[in-house]
Amino acid sequence: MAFPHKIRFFAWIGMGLLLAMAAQAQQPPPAAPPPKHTAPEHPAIEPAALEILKAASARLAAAKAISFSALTTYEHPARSGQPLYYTTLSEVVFQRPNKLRVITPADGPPSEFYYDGRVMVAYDPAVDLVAVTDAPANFEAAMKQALESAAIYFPFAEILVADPYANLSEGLTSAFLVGQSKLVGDTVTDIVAFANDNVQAEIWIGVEDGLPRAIRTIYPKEPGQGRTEIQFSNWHLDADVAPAAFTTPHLTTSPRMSFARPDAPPSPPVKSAPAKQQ
Amino acid sequence: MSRGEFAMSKLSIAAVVAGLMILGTGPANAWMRGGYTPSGGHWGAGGSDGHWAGSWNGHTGGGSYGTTDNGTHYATTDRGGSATASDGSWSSQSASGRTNSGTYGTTAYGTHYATGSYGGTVATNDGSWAAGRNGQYAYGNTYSGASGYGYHPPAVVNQYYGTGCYNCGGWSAGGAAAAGAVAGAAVGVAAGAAMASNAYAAGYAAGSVYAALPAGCIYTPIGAQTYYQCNGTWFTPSYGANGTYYSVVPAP
Repeated sequence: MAFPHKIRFFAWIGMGLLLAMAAQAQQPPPAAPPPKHTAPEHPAIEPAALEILKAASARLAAAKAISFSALTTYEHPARSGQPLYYTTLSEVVFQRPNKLRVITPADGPPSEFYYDGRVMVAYDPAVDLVAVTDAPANFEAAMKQALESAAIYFPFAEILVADPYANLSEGLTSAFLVGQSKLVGDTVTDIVAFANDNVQAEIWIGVEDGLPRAIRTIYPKEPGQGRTEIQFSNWHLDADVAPAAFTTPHLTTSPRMSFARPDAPPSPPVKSAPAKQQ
Repeated sequence: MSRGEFAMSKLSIAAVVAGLMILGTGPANAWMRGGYTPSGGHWGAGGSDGHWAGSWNGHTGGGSYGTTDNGTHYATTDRGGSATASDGSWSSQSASGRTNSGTYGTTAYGTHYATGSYGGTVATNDGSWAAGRNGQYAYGNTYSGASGYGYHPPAVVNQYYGTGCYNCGGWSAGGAAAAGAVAGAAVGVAAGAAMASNAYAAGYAAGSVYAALPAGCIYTPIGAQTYYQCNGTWFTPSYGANGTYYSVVPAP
């Protein structure tokens, strides 16, 4: 009975096809290609962060007189390479455009630094010695001279320059708002992080008064990537400052010393003139 | 010649070359600018297997270097210049015949230095370099080439010298030159009977700096300059790195 066998064979084939079609009909349609969905690109430099920096800088730039206390902590490696923390307290009085007084009672030997737009003076009360030298009338130039000629560097002077915002925003590669702190500086502060190729900084700026309460900096290209932190307190803006604040009576009474870098190499020998032939 | 001295000699020669290259750079102005050479210059040098090569703003040079049997270190340029160094002295002759010579060495605090006949000086310490000519110095960092008013970590005149912290490091890591730091005004009346003729008695190296004077120093002003005689060694005070320090100097 070949015929019925053929019928049965095609019947099975037909049922198989129907089942296959039914199964096909129950499967979900092939997934469509995902839509091109990319997150909006976030700016590396947030305008909100810059606005906070600008406001703080404008406040400082507009002040004719500024005084504050700066507790500076910085790292310097020991002979073994272990980072050591050094801390100094500086009582700072600055009068625009070009007068600065920095009294450092501790840590380390106490010292006094004066700049009145004409000369810079350093007085060491522990040993009663005074150094004096002519200085440029421009504040930034004077600070540069202090650094280059005597390795004198006041990190807080970076916010005292004529245009603090230009100084802080030079070559920025990132700037963003971290958040707010209720702990730093005994007030509410905005925390802004910013960086360029050479420095990574974080600054705490008072929400109410726009004044810095702390700055932390890391210099990735420096050996050891030492950290510096400045805590600001006792801010006073536009208070009267007597001219005598920027000089010291010891200028005329104390033995002199010179400004010089301690890392300067020994002076080269003077080449003597050849002896004359008789 | 120890391995360290040999390395020092190579360092000195390299420092002279690098220092002369660097002197043309000017300072930067701002905090955020640290970490580059303001003039945009780049320099580099290296050597191996007795040959060296260097470059400065695209100008290149090369030559050979080595040490003779008697311990003299030498370097030559492909153009005919040469330099030798041994026992703290060095000399050189350029391809055009111009000569120069000077000293090199290491201070008690690890500052490697070299001086030249024409007022040139270079020094390195702790990753930083200084190069000077006729009393004008340029400073930077050997790792990044930083120079100028860009941020530099404060140089430390070992502010905790009162504890005699030798291991603290810094530019005056030795702390007080000896026990008994003295106040300047009081130094004049401090007893200091022995005055040795040798300006560098008691092992003080010329150019070394100390955060405080040893005991028994006598305040000795000469003209407008302040000196201290300390048992045969002469010191002069300076203010730098946010503190006072004392340098060992020749007898005035």
